[in-house]
Formats: sequence, C-alpha cells, structure tokens
Amino acid sequence: MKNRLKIERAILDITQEELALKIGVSRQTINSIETNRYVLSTILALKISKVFGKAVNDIFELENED
Amino acid sequence: MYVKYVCHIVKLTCNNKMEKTTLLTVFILAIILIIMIFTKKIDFSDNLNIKNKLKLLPFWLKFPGIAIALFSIIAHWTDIHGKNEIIQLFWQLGLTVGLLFISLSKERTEDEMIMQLRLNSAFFVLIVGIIVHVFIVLIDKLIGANDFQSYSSIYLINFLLLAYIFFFYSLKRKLRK
Repeated sequence: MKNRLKIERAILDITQEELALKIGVSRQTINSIETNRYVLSTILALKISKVFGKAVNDIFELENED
Repeated sequence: MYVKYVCHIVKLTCNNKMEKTTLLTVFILAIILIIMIFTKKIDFSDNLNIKNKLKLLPFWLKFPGIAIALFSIIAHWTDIHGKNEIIQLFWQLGLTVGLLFISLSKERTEDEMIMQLRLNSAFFVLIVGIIVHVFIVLIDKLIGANDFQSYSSIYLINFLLLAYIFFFYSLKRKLRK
C-alpha cells in the first residue's frame, strides 16, 4: 500500500507528533505507517482522512502486490 | 452414569495432597467458567463480534510490577541455597506476579500497532516456548538424567513471560528508530 501521508502532512504543515495527538495514537505508529512498516486499520484511515479533509483513496493507494 | 464416572475419577485422583489441590483448582475454575457463561461475560451465541481491543491493566501497574520482580530476585540472591522455604515461595510466585503486572499493563499510548506487536510477540513466544519445552524434555529423556521432574511449571511460566516482555519491548524499540 502506497501512502501520501508525508505529503499531506507537509501541506497542512503539521508534525508526526501533532497528527498522532489528533487521532490518538503514538508518534511511532504514524512513523511506521509512513515508512510502510505497518498497515493501518480502517478506523485509523478514516480518522486520518477526516483530519486532512480528503477521501481515504486520495491518501492511501492499493498496490499490485497487496 | 456420569455421576459414577466422576466418582471414579475423584477416587482415582484423590490419593495424595498434590492431586487434591489440582482437583480443587480445576473445580473452582469450572465454577468461575460457568458463572462467566451465565452472566454472559463469555458469549457463545451466534452474534459473535471479534473485538480488536484487549482489556488490560492500567499503565501505573508497571512500576509495582517491576518493584515486585526486582525484589523477589534480590530475595532469591540473599538465600541462593534455598534453605528458607518462605523466601523460595516468594521468589517463584513474586517473580511471576511481577512479570504478569509488567506484561499485562497498558503502554503509555496503547494503540492498534501496540496491539499488533503484543499479538506478534505473544504468538512467537508461545511457539518458541513450546519448542524449548519439548527440546528440554527430549534431551532430559535422551540423557536419562530425569532432572526435569524437579522443575516446577512456574519456571516455564516465568520463562514465557520474560521472553514475551523481551520480544515486545525489543520490537517496540526497533520501531522507535
């Protein structure tokens, strides 16, 4: 799964820590999602899409090997 | 028929003190299980929903857990030859209780990734624990030492808990980078 989390964060100009606080997870979790080490749950994806005001599909993208 | 069978089992098993203890424990656990089923704490009905959240102890219980575990290790060092029975009991059970507190209490931010780490490390440690246990029994039988009889199950439990804590926190540390 590809994700545009880092780019979206840069657009809103918020750090990993601030995003983590907004959706109630740890900073390590955000970091792991950004570096593709952890595949997040649907609930967390929806929370993230709410923070950025975009659809989940615009932030996360399915890859061929998934 | 069932009553006869149960009576037979009780007669067979109640030969000495140790087996009585086992039977009593199983009996108490069965009663707890029945109560839990009747109060619907355990739900066997069709509308089963798999929750992806674990019910854990609060975070602050980590510190008493560490204190109890360290204290019991120190108590063991003061009586290494095992002369004092009370210290021996405290060392075995205290370490288990302390490690349980550490492993079953929440992290500072308990989120879904931590839950996944818990699952991964618990499953890994279960497999490793079983393999190590089988290996020890096998070697014990091969050598013919029969040392294994003298180890209590507390050692295995402590090993599993220690391995779980080690794997969980080493995985968590790796993610911090």
